[in-house]
Amino acid sequence: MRPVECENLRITYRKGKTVAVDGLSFTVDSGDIYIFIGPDGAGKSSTFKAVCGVLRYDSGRLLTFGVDPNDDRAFEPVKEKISFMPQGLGQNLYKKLSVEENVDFFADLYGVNRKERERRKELLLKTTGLWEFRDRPAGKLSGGMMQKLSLCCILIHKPELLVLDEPTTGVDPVSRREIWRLLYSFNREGQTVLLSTSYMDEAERGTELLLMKSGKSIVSGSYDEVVSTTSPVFVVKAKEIYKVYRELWKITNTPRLKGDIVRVVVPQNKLSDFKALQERLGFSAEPVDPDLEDLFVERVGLRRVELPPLFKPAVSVPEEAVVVDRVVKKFGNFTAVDGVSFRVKRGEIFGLLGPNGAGKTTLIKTILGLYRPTSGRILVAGKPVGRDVKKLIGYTSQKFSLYHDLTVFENLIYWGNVYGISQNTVRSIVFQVAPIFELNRFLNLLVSELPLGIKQRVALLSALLHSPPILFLDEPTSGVDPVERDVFWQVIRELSKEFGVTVLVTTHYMDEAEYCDRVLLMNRGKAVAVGAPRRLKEELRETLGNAYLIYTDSPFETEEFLKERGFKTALFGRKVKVYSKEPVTENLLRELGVPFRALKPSRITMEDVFVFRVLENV
Amino acid sequence: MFSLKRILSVVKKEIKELLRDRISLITVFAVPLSMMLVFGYGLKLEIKHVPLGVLDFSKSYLSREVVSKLTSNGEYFYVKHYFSSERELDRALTFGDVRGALVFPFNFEKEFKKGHAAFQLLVDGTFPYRAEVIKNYVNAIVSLENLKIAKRRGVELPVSVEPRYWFNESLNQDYVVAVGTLAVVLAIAPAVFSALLIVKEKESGSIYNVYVSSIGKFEYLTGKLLSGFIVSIFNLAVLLSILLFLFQVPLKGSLLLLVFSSLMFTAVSTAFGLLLSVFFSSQAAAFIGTVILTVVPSILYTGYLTPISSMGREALIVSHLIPTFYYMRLLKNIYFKAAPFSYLVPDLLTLLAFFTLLFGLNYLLFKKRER
Repeated sequence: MRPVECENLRITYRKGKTVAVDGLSFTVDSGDIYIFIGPDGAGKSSTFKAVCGVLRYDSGRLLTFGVDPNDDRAFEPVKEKISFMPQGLGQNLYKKLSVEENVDFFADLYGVNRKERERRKELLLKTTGLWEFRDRPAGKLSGGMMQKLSLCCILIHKPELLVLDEPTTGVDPVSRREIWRLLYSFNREGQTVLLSTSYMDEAERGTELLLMKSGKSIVSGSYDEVVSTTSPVFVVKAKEIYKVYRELWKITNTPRLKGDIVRVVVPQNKLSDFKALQERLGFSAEPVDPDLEDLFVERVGLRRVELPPLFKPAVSVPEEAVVVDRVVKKFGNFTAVDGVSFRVKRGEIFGLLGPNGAGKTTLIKTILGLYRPTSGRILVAGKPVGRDVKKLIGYTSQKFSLYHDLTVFENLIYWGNVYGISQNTVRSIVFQVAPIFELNRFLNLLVSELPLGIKQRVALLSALLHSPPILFLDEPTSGVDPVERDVFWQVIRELSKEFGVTVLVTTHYMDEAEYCDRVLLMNRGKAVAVGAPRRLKEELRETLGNAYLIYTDSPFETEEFLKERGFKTALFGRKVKVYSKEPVTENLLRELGVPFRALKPSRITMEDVFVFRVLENV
Repeated sequence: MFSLKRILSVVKKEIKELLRDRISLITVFAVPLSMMLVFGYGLKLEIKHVPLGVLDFSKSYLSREVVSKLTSNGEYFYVKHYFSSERELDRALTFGDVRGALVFPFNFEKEFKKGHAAFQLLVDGTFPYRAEVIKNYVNAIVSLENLKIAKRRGVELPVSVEPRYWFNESLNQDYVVAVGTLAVVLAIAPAVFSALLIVKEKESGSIYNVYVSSIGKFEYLTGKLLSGFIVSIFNLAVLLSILLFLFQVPLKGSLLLLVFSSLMFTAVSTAFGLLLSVFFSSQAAAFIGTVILTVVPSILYTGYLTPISSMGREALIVSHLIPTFYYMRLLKNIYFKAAPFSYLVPDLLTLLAFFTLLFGLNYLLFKKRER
């Protein structure tokens, strides 16, 4: 019997006024690692809750292990076979109970007998590395450890189907890889996994994937089947990359500027235009395998944003716009920021990258003068932060500093007034900018009614009204879809490159490093690495070598095999990523006797940088 | 079928969580304690030490005599101001400087000598209860004087009253308030605690464990109910000790019956809170909602401050729908009247019925899903 069969599923909220899931069909086979990918609000959580019988669906056909989850009585016995982990770090844990007590309680919930419980508990806690922390309260674990404990808890009764709602969101890359490894090993023992994520780069870690947007499926199938665009994808390199980028917009709505390259999907009927442009501007174009983002972008289409010069700051700041010197911030005996130093140059996009709880927000708040540093020195625009410096700063906090019960327009007027801008000036700015930001039809809506991407734009606009020369943005792109995210980064880039605005931005998406001039990787309050993204990856490539992907039917054995022979490796679903200074060829693999199906060259990613730099420091 | 083990594991978890959370501990144990102390010590129903003003146009011996009779006892009234004009009096009453004023006309003494004199009593009516009491005090004192004068003039009154108070011989208002406070606090504290029991899991997200696991509704709810009940037993013990040893309200009936009916009421109150917990989805809303739904009826409709018999028909019906009303009656019957068990049975059965109803609704309305 199939774990999940779903046809034409429809789920609505507020008596049908909000449609969360709209005609979704998919099938999860036994032994799958089925991944739902999509931005916040796509309908992933609603679907999962319906599958587990926690949320009543409106219409369609849904069977979990052959039983309709809407049928309370009939579905109750099916619950023995499934496990559900809700979204959010450690959401289902009891924070005051110890690691062991949490597992015990779950065992009791499912009526697992004592002997079996002790056996499974030891096994699970040992494989997750939590055994030595078994007396620690769950609330005192790091985000990654909490997620691992959640997994232990829901696995105690040996469910056949694991339903995991964003188990890796906000988790540090090291723990993320460990969580995936756990999932693979459970999957190998026959457990089926249904999981969601908002990270596009996690797509290829499953056996099946479904890309979701606005309650609908965009594509579904196995990664290699699905991730193929009808048109070729190119990586474009050129000296004057920004000029090329602008010209490419005239051909297609898919170019994305990532550092010093542009990634673009060129439609078949535009290939000749592309060739002509290439000859005219003299750039190199290397065809590459499409990834999920290419697919998303091709299906949905990006939007070009060009800012009017009214955001050009009137005041200029010193060459060293932000100086952070050995800053420490402690709360009681907890050190949130531990001796971090960096300098942001005028007009630079500087990224603070790290998982939830790394100390990014604390650091930004300390720089802004909202927290007093325990020690260290901070200069913004050449001065310690005070009243006059604050006028030079634009800031959006995590979750955005907007009032939910005011309309977009009222919010903007309010923020303008806070910065001492007259109502008429704000009005004229808004009328000029609203069409560019595509805010026209939202201006009179309450902020609480807005989709996440629009909220993000409004928050950004509200921080820009007084044309600040320095901008601080805390997790502006969390949960936003790739199209919205691209709009956001276009604005940031224009501000930085055209108007000389200095931007300091935090994110937990490792792949967003590409959009920054320089990044600082943070983990547990400490700086792991700092530099230009390309540089950081290049440096890692020099120490580790090139990356390859080995496709195999027995990933664990393959990985074990390679490890024994001294290779650095990582598991990606049914694939093994291997790093080697010597070229890895099919012949070499055959010589070594590694079981494999195919071999492809891969790339060193920012996640690799993070993982290896963190492990180095341990 | 249900398993006792699962029920107990829910109880164990709740108690552990409570014991490790300082803020919850404080709210659970300190709030009822302080309510008991604040209400017990602070709630005084008697009107005493009322500031009066006097505007005496007669400037006579008799007017001074009346004023001195009213204030000589020192307990009820004292003269704060002597006014020289109506305007002054007006001001003082308006600003709340005095709560009442005596106005003696020019010919007060002359009229008295003729046989009948009247003076005016002005009372601040913004607080009707107090105004009523002031009027009654003044009337009583004046009547007493009238009686004496009548006797002196040789008139004997045909009927007189000899009052004697039963159950609370010294008419000690503090005793009644203290015992009533126990009922009010027991209506509030266990309900508030158990109202948070399910809501807090909804808020944190751990409720999904219950939704998705095979634990039954009955097991889960019973576990929650028991943990609320156990915690409240400790509270009950503390509150009863305060009543008996700190306020030293003499218990005339059986301690066993007192404890038994209090336990029953605690169970009702816990079940009520748990029922609210099924409806609310945030702890803040659950807290405020439960406080409003328990405090207001318990104080107004149970005979805590005003006797039920003096209420209107509608209010009387409302009273009978509130469990606290029956417990209040039980308490007073046991505490002051030493009523025998047989006399208490109907009220105890009513509490049992309330409990069954509330827990039954809990079971029916709690769904193992978000929606």
